Amino acid sequence: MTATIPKVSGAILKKRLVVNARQQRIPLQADVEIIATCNFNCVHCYIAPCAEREDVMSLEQAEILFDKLKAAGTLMLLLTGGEVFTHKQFKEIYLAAKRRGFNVYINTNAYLIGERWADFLALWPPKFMSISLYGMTPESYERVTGIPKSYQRVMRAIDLLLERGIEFDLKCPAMTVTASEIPAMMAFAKAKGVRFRTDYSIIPQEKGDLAPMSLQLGPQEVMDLQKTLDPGLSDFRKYAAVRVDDSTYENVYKCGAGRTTLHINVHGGVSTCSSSRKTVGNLFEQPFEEIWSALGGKVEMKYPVGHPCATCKFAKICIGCPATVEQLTGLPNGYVQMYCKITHQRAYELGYHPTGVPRTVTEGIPRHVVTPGRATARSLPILSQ
Amino acid sequence: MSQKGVNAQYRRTDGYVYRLTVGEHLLVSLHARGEEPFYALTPTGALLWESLAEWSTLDDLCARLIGEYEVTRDQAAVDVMDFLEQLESLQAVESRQLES
Ligand code: SF4
Ligand code: SF4
Repeated sequence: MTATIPKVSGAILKKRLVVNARQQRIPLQADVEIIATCNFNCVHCYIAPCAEREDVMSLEQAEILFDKLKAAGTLMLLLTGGEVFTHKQFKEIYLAAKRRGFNVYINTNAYLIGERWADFLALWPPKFMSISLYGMTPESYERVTGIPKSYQRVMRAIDLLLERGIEFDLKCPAMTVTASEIPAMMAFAKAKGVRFRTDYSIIPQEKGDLAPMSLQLGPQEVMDLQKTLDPGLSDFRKYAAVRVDDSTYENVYKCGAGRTTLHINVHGGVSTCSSSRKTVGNLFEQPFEEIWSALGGKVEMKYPVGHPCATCKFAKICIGCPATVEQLTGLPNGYVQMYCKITHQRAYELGYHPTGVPRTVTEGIPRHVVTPGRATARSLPILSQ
Repeated sequence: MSQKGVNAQYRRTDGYVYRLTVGEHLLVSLHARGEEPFYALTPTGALLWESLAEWSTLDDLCARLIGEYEVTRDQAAVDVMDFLEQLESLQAVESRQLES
């Protein structure tokens, strides 16, 4: 018996939590969408264009949710939107989460963060913030967001947060309207001493509008950008070296979705993660255990026989994942050739594939494997190139 | 054992929240920044943390340990003092002197 605080570093403790949560299937991390509307009108957004004014979670609803998540074992809680700082009760919701002992993360476009919010966050620091960046000039910023002065306001917010030592990273989706400035954004983040992230897959709007898909970069554009960001692809080479292998897969989900993580939308609907909009139940109406069990069933999904991804060497570096595939085909175990072409192109560049052309191009896609419907397929850049 | 220990009462501050999750007794900081703003407690530490909701003397805390575990008074006192020192360094506990 000793009554101590064992001297383990936070990082090791976190690793232990993650490993044990995975073994015991405990929802260690939850994303909670507290508002679906936003003060920006981003061209690529999958959620806010579909949102109505009433798509807001009340403080009372948030508290019910937090109590359920706390009882289920959640420790990391992401507050996301829409834009969370536009929520009239954001401060109360945020403090309700903090006071329940969650490590709170925030996704924001940072437009509304002025001195007052920055001081508040300095006093009640989030575990981490993720700030969306959309360009490196006022004009390009506004081309994406549609909001005057968005660039200037976000730049100021970044400085206010840095001055107060609040931890955050910057991220921007790589798409036709941002690709040319992504290298400058990366350099900017480096100069500020913060991490920069980008990703290459765009998804349709929540209610099915395919407009954002016209912004998706094609395989060669992805490759060109990646080579600019990572000269000689040295980082990607290291990343791929431990992931390209001869594994075969029965299970579609290889990530923590539905095993240690879940996403809750503004109406209480629960899905595997923020990239998936298909809900399996509602936390405002059903007990947590019922929904967690339904989610567990979903992520046990298997590939049908002969599915190209089940025997793919590049599955662990694939640009697509069950959630984005589900968005485009309706099923997590569908198949999106655009993702496949982009991934094979990258594998070719690294010398892992002789041609960069997936075998489904030469041999065809098995008929029983679900692919994007005709309208979705037409919106994908690969078919229009 | 320091004079302060014998003649003092202790109570936890409101800068931390206790959580039991994935089998870990955690103290989550409300105001800390940085890597991982939480600490793990041993189960005995968690027991004392619970007692520290109220102003407690060293004797009270030792009695709590002795009541739950097979341990001598002296062992318990050493343990409790070490734990209180750790909590003090995290500003997780406050103390006040008793009239002697
Ligand atoms: S986005 Fe894809 S890879 Fe990420 S958690 Fe969701 S299903 Fe898994
Ligand atoms: S989409 Fe293509 S590259 Fe990606 S896992 Fe499936 S077969 Fe492999």
